[in-house]
Amino acid sequence: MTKVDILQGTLDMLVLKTLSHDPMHGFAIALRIRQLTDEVIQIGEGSLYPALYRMELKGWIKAEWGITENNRKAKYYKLTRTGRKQLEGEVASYARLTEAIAKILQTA
Amino acid sequence: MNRLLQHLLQFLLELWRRLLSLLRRGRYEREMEEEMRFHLEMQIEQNLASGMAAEEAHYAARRQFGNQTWLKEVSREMWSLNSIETLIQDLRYGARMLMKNPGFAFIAVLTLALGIGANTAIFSIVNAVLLRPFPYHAPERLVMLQERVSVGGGFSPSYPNFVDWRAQNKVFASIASVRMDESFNLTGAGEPERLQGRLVSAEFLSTLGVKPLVGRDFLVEEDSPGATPAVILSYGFWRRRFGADPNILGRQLALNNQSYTVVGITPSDFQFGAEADVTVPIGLQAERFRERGADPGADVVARLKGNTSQQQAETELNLIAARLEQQYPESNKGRRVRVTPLHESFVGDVQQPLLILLGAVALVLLIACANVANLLLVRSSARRREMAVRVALGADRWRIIRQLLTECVLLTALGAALGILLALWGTSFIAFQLPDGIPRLQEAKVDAPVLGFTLAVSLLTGLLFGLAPALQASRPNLTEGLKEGERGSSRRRQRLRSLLVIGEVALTLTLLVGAGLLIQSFRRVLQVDPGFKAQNLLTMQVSVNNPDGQQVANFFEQLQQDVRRLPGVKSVAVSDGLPFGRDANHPAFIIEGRPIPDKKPNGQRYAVSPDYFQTMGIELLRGRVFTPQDTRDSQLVIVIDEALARQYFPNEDPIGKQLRHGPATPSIEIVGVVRHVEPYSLDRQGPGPAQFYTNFNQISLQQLPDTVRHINLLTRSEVEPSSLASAVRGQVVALNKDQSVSNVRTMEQILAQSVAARRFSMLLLTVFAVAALALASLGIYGLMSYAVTQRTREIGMRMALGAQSGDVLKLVIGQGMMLAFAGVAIGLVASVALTRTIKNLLFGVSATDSTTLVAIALLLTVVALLACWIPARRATKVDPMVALRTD
Repeated sequence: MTKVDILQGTLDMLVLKTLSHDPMHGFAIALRIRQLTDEVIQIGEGSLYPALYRMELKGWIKAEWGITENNRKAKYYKLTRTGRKQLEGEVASYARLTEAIAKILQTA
Repeated sequence: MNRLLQHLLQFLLELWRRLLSLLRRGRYEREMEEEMRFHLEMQIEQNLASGMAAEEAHYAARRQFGNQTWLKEVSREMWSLNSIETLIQDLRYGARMLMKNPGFAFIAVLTLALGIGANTAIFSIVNAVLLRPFPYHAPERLVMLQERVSVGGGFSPSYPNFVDWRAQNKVFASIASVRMDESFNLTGAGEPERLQGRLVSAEFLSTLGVKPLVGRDFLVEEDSPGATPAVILSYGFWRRRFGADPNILGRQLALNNQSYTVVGITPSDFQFGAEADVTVPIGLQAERFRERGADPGADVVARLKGNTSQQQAETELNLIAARLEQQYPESNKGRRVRVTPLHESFVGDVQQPLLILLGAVALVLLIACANVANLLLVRSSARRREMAVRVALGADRWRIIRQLLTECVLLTALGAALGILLALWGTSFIAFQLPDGIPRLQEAKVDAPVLGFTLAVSLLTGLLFGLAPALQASRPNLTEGLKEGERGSSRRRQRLRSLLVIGEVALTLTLLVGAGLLIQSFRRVLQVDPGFKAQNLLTMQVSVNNPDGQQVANFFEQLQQDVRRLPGVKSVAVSDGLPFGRDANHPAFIIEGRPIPDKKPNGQRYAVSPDYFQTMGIELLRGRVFTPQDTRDSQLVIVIDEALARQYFPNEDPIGKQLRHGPATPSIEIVGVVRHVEPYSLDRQGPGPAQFYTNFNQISLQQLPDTVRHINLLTRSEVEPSSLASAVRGQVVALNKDQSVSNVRTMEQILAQSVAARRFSMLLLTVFAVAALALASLGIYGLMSYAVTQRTREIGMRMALGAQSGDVLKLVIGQGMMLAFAGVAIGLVASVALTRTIKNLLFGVSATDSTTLVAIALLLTVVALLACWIPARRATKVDPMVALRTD
């Protein structure tokens, strides 16, 4: 159980971070994360969309229909204020966690 | 705190969004599909761009995307209000289960409806009478002031004392006196009418913090003997008599032949004590209340100043009272002041009976819960296999508990809905049954707070009867449950059910004992000899407005003669007061030839015509009653009652002794001693006040017009008294058509009225107790029938091995009676503890009256025996062969 939770939390954080500059549609989010992590992290659509819907319900992101560069209708996700706060919080706690883990790894 | 609030807000917002998504489900699904399609197309485009063949690009994208249906499913579940959907599912399933077993559902819902409905009805009355704040400004700062002598009970202060308190105190922001139950004759335009009224001092309304709807409160200068008479009308009277005329202020009203100017209207929700159509300054009649020792005077209400406490106020008032005692030793000896919160003094008397009824009805609900829980347990036994299958198929424990609780919620909801309907009817029925004089009773209705209460009670009920069965059912023994035809009932379940039945019996016994004691008390009260014969006695109030004493005297002489001539009339009399009436005077007197004591003797005085004793059926013990020879010109005579004789003439013959009311008033000779008459109620504890009777025919012609404002005409008949009512009334009107006649009642009605409160609590408690008895016997019956079905095989075996039907009977009844006896034993202990709370509602019977306890225990045992008998009989009919063959 805990494993899933951590993964889900991390996924949320990555998505929120990706959205922190501009609104994006789902495909672009997946693409961006893949590119930024040099294909290390590949998010399946099966987990991306449920995560997006969940965060929308929580009010962290907002969805709006927009038009892509090639003139196609797509659903764009935008970070809300609550979402930004949530991101800050998660980044901070993630930083604490990695720091702590790093300490153990260094000494051991 | 802030964080918590934020979280709560977040949660609520999320719930809201989920709800929205549920409502806009179709749109969301379409959007999701579109989004998926877009994603897929983008993927295909990318694949093409990276050089794949068209078909391959397509397949790769699909492969990468994975199972679309699953994705949709997951996403859908994400937004759908998961819990609500399951709830609806559970509800649907629950409803189906109930429909499959309509008998069970009907009994359970009906039981709950009765329990919840009765609770709601009683609570709506408790709410209106006890809980709702009074419609005054800051009612918690209002207090009532009473005088008391040494440690005795309180009484309304005399008016002169009130005037001194008002002048001397520094603890009240404002203080006012109010005398209720006054009446006025309205004459002039339109029908003459007898009005209920109250006399108040200036600032009465402002003390209560009530703003008149129109106009103003009385001014200080209006509250004095020579002032221009002013009157404030009640909202109801203003609408009824004047059609809510907006130009009413300044109108003149003829009350008791005096012209009053209307200065205000009270708000529609205003009330204070007895109903009053008109409110008039008490100062106008200050002359009437000038006697400092008079009792009763007028009630006093005051508003505490700033943060003065009730205790401080009482201390200061007692200092003032001590000063007054020195100043007026004759009237104020030993008089002290008691300060009580307004709420307590208004509802103090009814608080206890109402709370007891609420407690009793809660017990009935508890028994109803136990019964439904029992029914559910039976059902859950029958559904064990279903539960086992569900668990085996992977339902988790919580899911099953939720399913069962949902069924309970469904039952309760149905029960509550029906119960509210019952309460709507029951509240008005109970309010109608309740005796007059309970404050704010008319306002009792099923409103929002009451519905809130019902909701809370229903929720609690549902949990109470649902949780135990649900918890048990969710822990089924899989192998046992699934085994075909397994009948061995789990011991646990049997024990729980037995405990429930024992509890029901114990609670029922307690209620029955309470009801039994009240019934006993009521019977004893009815056996009390009131001192007169109430049968065949008609009373009515005649009020005369005529300043000419001689005309008044002639009128009453003529009236009595006329009525006496009516067929069926045996004798006729008039008196200025009736037993069980509220307005009785207690003048003090001195006995000729004895030193004047600190506290002058006093007694309840009635002015009566010579035939009064014969008409009322009051027995003459010594001497004589009034005769036609006693006139205004002869020696003044009185008749005293045995209590007065015992109190003031313990070892001598009172006949021939002389009394006077004051040093300067003429002497009065005692000519007779009659039986004591119960003055206020039949259930008086301790001795009543001594009484004496003056001769109506000897009232001076100057005083007579004042006396006859409220005169009772009493008619003893040979026929049913109410049948004479219109004939007697006709005689009054024939003599003077402007005469108002009111309060036509038979003496038996007056007696019934005086015990109405007692009768009401007795009746209601009895109804509750009988309902409890029915429920409990149903509970025992249900348990035993189930036990018999469970043990069919065992019983069959026993009979095959030679047991006689008597043995079987003994077996089954023994099992049931064990429970009944345990319940009775616990109940007896509980009732001894609980009946103490109704101690002061009892009359002539002790709270631990052994006769009642034994009788009730026997009654319950017999009922339990009957409830066991039927299933036991059925058990003896078991055919061993059939029993052994079934699974």
